[in-house]
Amino acid sequence: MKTLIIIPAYNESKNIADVVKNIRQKCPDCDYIIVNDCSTDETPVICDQSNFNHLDLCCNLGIGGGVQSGYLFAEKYGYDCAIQIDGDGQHDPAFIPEITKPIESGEADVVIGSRFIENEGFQSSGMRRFGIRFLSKLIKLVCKADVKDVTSGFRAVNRRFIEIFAHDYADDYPEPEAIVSTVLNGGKIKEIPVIMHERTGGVSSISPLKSVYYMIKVSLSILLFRITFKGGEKR
Amino acid sequence: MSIALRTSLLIGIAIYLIIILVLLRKKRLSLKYSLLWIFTGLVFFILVLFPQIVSFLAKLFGVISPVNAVFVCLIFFILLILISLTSIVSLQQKRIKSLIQHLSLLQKQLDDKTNSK
Repeated sequence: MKTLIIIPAYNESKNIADVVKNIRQKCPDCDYIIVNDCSTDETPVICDQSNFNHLDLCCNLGIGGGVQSGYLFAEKYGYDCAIQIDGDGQHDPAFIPEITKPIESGEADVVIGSRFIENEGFQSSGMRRFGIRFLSKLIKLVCKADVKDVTSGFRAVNRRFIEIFAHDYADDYPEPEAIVSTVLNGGKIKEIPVIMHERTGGVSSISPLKSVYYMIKVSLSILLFRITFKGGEKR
Repeated sequence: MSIALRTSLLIGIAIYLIIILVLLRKKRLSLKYSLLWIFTGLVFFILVLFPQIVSFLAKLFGVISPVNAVFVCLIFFILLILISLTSIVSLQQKRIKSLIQHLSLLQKQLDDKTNSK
């Protein structure tokens, strides 16, 4: 199975080398691509010097557009499976074989690495867990998907959904919406327990102040996405 | 509507339509996007020619003064144009995103080729 690891990176100069080193060590069979979303720090320089496989976006597209570029790459070069992993070292590449297994066996179309199944490792703050639980309930309500860690950006996706996401992927905070999209497109989701770390360097893209705005925006967009979804649409 | 109001509205509409036509002639406005503007102008032209419509609308909306009915119509059309603008912007944003992504993929392909030589 031809597998691509998509690493969206925006100003991740402190973490990116470690992330790639980890991936090479723990999954030497997988290809990887760093999507440098027009970083303003040393990220592109590090990628060039260390000869990392990377894609430089010429304008900043945000996380959704960046990840989608990775899916476009996977679509173009015929990958069977794409894995999304954050560029900040939160996700441990050691779990990659586990989250790709259900894809390989055809058991699921999208696999999500989840913190909240065995509740091990970094669990994030109470407020955020509350928000995630709320979104999880909301998603269950609109499309009956039972996913606990809806904001997890640690995912594996099969060929069919590589093609779907390459053509339609949310812009700003795409993870919860992608779950709804998967279910509405008739895909099967499986959640697998993983252990996440607290980010090792740099700052998270979501500050506490933005969280409230995030919740409102994501909730609204999930509802609107569900209401306006056109089934069987030709892409 | 008083004669004074109708005359001033008429002059206003005339200036408005002339500006649109001049912009169209200079190719500073594409025909596709100007249609809604021109349509709005024509609707107001008809309202001025037949003020009975305004009185009727005023009664219908429960507005006391017919002038306010003119305002209501105006606001309605402005909202319509604003929504169409947002729709145009959204489409453009989608296209620009797609351009950036495909350009970057091509750039990478080119870089990889020159590097391997």
